[in-house]
Parts: sequence; structure tokens; C-alpha cells
Amino acid sequence: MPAPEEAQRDIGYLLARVALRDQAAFRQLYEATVRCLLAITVRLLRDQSWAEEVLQEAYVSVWNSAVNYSPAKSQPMTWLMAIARNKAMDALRSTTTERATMVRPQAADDDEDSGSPDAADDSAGPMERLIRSIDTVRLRDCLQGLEPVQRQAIALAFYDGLTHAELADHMREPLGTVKAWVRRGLERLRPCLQR
Amino acid sequence: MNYNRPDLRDRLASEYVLGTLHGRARARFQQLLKDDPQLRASVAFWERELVPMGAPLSVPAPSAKLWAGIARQISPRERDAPANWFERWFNTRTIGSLTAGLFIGVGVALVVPTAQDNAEPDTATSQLPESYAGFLQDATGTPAMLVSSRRHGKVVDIKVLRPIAVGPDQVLQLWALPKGAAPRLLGTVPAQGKGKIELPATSEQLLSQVSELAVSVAPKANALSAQPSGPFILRGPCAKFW
Repeated sequence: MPAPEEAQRDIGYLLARVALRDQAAFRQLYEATVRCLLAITVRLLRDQSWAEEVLQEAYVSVWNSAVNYSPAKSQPMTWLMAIARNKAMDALRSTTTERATMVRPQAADDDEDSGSPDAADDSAGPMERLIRSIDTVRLRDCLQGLEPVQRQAIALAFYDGLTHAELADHMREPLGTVKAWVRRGLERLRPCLQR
Repeated sequence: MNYNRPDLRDRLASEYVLGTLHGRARARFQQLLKDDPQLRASVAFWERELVPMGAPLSVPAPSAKLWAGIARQISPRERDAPANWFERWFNTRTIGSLTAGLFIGVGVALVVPTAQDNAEPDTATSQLPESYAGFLQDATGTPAMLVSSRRHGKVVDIKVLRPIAVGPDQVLQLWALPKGAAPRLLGTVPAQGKGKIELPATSEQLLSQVSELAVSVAPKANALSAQPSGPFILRGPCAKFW
């Protein structure tokens, strides 16, 4: 049973081929990663067709900029996820399109308490192995060092793409309070992440 | 917002990556990013640390339209690109990214495991031990030097691919170029043949944030200077072989 890290290495290999304009490798890269990236963008945009429009732009961007990807700078999945997130955030922050209301308001808390991605599971498919290969141990430890309200505000902003105003609404707190939670939470994360 | 304070800029970078920077503030920030390598480095830090948190628990299936839309946008360009593989390779890319592409291709070809590999869980499945490796070229794009070191070792191996012209009172210095920071001297290297540099710490400690290596010429008296005495005559990517 191949180790989770190999899943990322395979993605790295495919990215190197995509940099050489290998369309077959690009198709494989797409098949291996689209569900992960779709999950992230659907969560942010709350609509699968909007998410797919955005992902189309994201993958075309991957095709065009794979030549600039450097394994020294980031893990392959982090690079891909960042492109998808940025496209989704650009879409969210520049249109006046209303998102559907959040279906599960407690979604952010679920993510905090959810099982660690490194639980062994021999029956897991390639997508699950790929997702488990994404290393978040230090980040999760550092998040535990925050106040619960700071952690929740950051999680809601990150996973659900809530603006400060939406955070204030969702957490039923003044705007200034939630802004401070986000700011102080991030300030506390920095030194912990740099260790 | 006073954009000149480094702590404020880092806070902006963190909020940009998190997603709480929106509307005109986000657009303004993206403009700033274009001309500001330090700000880009901040964003790179936050992306590296936060983005992995997004790994999802459940994954939906995409509609068939998604790939169809992507393929449509890619194929016309492919037809317009030069047909000749060689021309496509050298056409619009800088030597730097060309080298990176070649290097990645070579590097990952060595580390992709074959079906027959019976690697134990805690040993590398590549044919090489976990190493840093650099491939330096001169200004004409001619390969000039190979640099390598084990990930947790303190010795850097140098192999000069073609002799480098150096005066009798001069030395060659090897520099690590970390992103967004000043060059750091690794040591002196020979102008031909092979050599070694003893590092003050492990490669992992010194090179994990380094994406490029470079060589400059210095007078012998300045062999251990903190800054390069002249321009970089050789330059190339530094990558991880694992």
C-alpha cells in the first residue's frame, strides 16, 4: 500500500509534465484532483455550477502556469488548492451575486473536531490518500492555541468565505469584535507556524 | 492604511489568504502584489501554512461540462503553438523557468517509484537519498555546475561541468538565494573539476527556503564576504529530490 506522500509526488510529476504541455498528463492531473478542488470551491460559492465555472478558470490557469511551479516553493496540492481558492475568492469578492444561505451553520465546528487526516485506512481510494497526504498537523496544533471564538471566526472565514459583516451576523457579535477576533487569531498563528 | 509598515503588510497578506479582504481592498492588494516581492513572500508564507487546511472531508463529482470547458480553452492554443518540440521548449520561456522545467522533469523522473519497488515505509523510494540539488547555468544558458547535498547532511558536493575563467587572485563564491531575503554565502567552489563545501548547519536548515543558487567572482581577500562583490556569473534552481 503506497504511503500518502507518494500521492503528492505523483501530482508533482504530473505537474512537471503539464509544464511541458503534455495534455494527457493534464487530463490525469485533472482526474486526480478535481473532486478535492471542487469540494473547496463548492463550499465557498455554495453552488456547484458556479464552482465549476470558477474551476474551469482555475484549471486553465494551472495549464498556463505549471511552468512556473517550483517544488522548492510549495507542495503540489497546496499550489493547486491556492489557485482554486484565489479564483473562488476573486469571484466571490468582485460580483454582487448573492450566495445561497449556508445550509449547515455549524460546518466550521465540524471541521475542527473532525478526524485527523492521517488515520490509517487501507481501503481508502486515491482521492482519500491524496487528501490525507496534505500535511496539516502543525496548523491544527497552532489553531488549538487560539481562543475558541478566534478559531471559529477564522474557520468560518476560511472554509465558508464569510466576510467580516457576515461573520458578525452569523456569530451575532459587533463588527469590530469579529474583526478583532480574526486579526488577533492570525497574529497568534504567525509565530506558532514559523516555529 | 499605511502600507509601509511591515507588520501591517503581513496582516494584510494573512487576511488576503484567509479571504477577509474583499471588494476594492482585495483589488488594491492584488495590484500591490505585482511590484512587491516581500509582500509576495508574505502571501506565499500564509498560503503555504493555511491553504492545506482546506483539504475537504467529502468530495463531490464534477459534471462532464467542466472538463469539456477546460479542454476547449486549451486546445486552440495548442494548435497555435509552434509544432516543433524544440521551438516550443525555447520559445516564450526564460532560461530560469526553462531550467526549472527541465530540472523538475529530470528530478521527478528519478523519484517516481516503479511498480516493483519494495520500499520500507521510512526509507525513500527514489534511487537517490533525500537530497537538495542545484543545476547552474551561465548567461548563455550553458550548463556549468552541479551542486548537491543530502537533506540532513552538512557537506555540499560540487561538480564543475565546464571550466570557469577565474583570475589568479580571485575565488568563486557559491550563494544560496532565499526568497525575499539577501543572498547567503555557502562557501567557495573550484573553477574546474570537483569540490566540497562544509556547511555550518544541515542542508535542510540552510536550503529548505532556497529556490535558487548562484556563483559570483570575488577577490581572494573577500572570499568570506557577506555580500557578493560582483554580478552572478552562474545561476540556477535549487530543488528537493524527495
